[in-house]
Amino acid sequence: MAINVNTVYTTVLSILNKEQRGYMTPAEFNRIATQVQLEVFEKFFEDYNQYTRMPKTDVEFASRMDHIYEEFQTFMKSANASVIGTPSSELSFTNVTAYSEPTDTHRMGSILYNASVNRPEIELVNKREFTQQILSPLTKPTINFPIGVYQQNKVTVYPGTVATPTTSDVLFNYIRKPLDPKWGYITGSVGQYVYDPNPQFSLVPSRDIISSVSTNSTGITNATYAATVGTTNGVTTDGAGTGLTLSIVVTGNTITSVVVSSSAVGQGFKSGDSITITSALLTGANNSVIITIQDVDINSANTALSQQFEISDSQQTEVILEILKYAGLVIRDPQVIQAASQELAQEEVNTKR
Amino acid sequence: MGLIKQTASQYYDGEVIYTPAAANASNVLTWPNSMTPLIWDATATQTSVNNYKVYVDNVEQTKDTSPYFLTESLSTTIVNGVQTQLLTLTSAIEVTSIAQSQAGSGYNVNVVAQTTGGNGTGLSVLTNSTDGNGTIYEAGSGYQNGDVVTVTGGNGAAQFTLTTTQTPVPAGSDIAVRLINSSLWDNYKSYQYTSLVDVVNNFIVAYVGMDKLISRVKRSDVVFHAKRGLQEFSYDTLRSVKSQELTIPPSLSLVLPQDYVNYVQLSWIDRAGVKHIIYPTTLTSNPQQVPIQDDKGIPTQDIYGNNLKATQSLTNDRWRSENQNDLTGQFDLNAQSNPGVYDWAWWKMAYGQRYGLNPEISQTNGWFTIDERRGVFAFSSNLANKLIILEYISDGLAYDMDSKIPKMAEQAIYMHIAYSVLSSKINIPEYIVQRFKKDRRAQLRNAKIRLSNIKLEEFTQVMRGKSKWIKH
Repeated sequence: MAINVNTVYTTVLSILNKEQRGYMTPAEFNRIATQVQLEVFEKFFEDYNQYTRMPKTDVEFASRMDHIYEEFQTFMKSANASVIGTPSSELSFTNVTAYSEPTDTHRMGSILYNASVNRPEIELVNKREFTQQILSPLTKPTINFPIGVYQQNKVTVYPGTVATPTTSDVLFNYIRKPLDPKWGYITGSVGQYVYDPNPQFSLVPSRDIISSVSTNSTGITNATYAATVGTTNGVTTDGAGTGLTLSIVVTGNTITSVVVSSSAVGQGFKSGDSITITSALLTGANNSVIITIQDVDINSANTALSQQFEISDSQQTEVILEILKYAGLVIRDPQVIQAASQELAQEEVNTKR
Repeated sequence: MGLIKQTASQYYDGEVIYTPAAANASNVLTWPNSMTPLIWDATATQTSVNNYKVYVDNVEQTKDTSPYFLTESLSTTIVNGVQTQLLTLTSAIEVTSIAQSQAGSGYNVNVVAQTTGGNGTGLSVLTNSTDGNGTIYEAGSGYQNGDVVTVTGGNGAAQFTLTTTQTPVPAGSDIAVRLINSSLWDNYKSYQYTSLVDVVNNFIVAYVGMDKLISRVKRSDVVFHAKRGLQEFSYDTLRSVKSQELTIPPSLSLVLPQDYVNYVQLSWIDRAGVKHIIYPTTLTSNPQQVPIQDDKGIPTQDIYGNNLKATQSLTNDRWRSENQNDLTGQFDLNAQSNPGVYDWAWWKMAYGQRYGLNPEISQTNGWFTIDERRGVFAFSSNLANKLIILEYISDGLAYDMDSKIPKMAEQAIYMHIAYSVLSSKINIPEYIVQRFKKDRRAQLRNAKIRLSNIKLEEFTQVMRGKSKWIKH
């Protein structure tokens, strides 16, 4: 469960306002919250690395490894390549293709080769290792044991076996960056800030986004289909968005209308994200339908909308303390900085003991 | 979940039967990916590597078989790691009759004349008149109904209008796609093996990872050690002896097989099919270089400064032309009828014939040597035209089909990989390395014993022949 941005902001303000120490504007809070979320997020991986080298337990709820994994699993994704290069020949390999990593990649995990039976993992090597490997007849890449040179955010896969490559030839397992938290507000009748809980990066409610359908299909059975991104079978996105429900109207065996739900408008979508809907949902479709979201579809123009923290609420205490630490800098109060730092240090000691 | 993916009928028959619901010009058959994948060569010649045949109602079909003239097209796609093979069988459009639409002149009669024009190629006619009229000789392919073709030769004016037909496979027919015997036989014995890919994947799952002795290893390292292990095991542990039945030509030499590493046994086959071992000999040898010398004994060179070499070795020539009886001491009928057979001659004293037999030489099965210069087995002259069986070992990596490991040696190969990885990894305590070394040795010994295929009953039967009493 994500941390509620309003809870954090109000808690921070409550602590800061004690004895009229100071105040933090929403704009300041949003910037610091972004910084803090990233700090906590990056720390997950360092902690995970440390825990792998510590004694472990199998007791339920006691495993630090499991805890930390649970924290960052929200950001783990699998997606196809974003762009493919033109196949070329290199040494004895033909149809060698470079596949670009997904645009929201933050940390690369593994890369799987969809174009080979049973989807083997592509072993990532640098150019020097690649040269060494192909010189040995026993370690030369094969369709069952492919290798990839990973550089400039692209992986070039050997041996190139696909004459007509597609972005779905490779599957990237990676971690995306968390979305920036935002405490959205509207101005009240007396000039006060009033929290707006509506999600940021949602789509415009009830909008027909048929003009954003970049690949339509034919042969679909006429009906109205409900599709929720990330939930309905056969409906996926290459971006970070979730919770969007679309009503897809098919007449004349092709899609004629795609209407965004009035309530389930999703969050985390951005312009350029693709939503792919396969024949698993659209009965009889000759090909997958792709909707490429455009700027006009996004409801982000409204600055009032909020974005919750994406890290889990088990990190709430740490997030508040970290924000307080920065808040102490903002209001130039060393006592706040000292108190927050001591709390954080104590928590760090406890977790690493 | 069981390891067997094929149904019993898929295993035993190696075929898929498709029954079209309607008479379609094209029928698409999905080949199950649990079965041996289909291999198809677009050229589809007699020597193609296709591993299946197509039957309609139990009649084998080719592109020349009437009435369907089925053409094939195999599409293999892999989507998300799942391979799908679709075999499309299309009844070809055949030219069934021709009608002369324009007469020519000056054509030779009873000659095969090619045609030009139309949408297809390859139609030729057998002329029966000087005006260019005739009958279909070769029907060609790709023509459409109503095409007009011109007959070459004569004044080049004779033309025919073509009538084509396309005969779809009738509804309810049984279209069977059946693996050929060699593929089917490979499939029959497949369960006793595990593939190299599976071995590598199993090893990484079970032996590599957090809290394991091998915390991290490159996949290519595992592949390397697995392949090296397969090579090493092939030489002395695995049942990877290959054999070929060959006839020795008059040249008395046979080229080494393409995947030859070492021989196991060569034997000639008598009329009863019984093997007789052919032994290697040290009586002669095959020179690796045969330079041409001048009268001073110095090798001569060509205009480029390279040594001139003879194409034939004189040693080989003499060995080939030698009467083997002179070596083995065997008397043929002529020798026995020779009243002077027991007289003294120096050559009869040679090679231990008369006084003190030398078993190495006194055998009639012939000899072979390996001529490294030419890469051939060279046989003695008494083996000319004999049927032989050549048993040899390869390294298990020559062909994709070879890269499989008997399940009885599976654990041995895991231990080999584990030991190889650990012994070449930094910061691994020596006692761990030694433990795996012992494990490897023990598992390899187990594999050897298992693959030796010693059965108690067979063993006792053999020992009975040795007049030994074995209780069992």
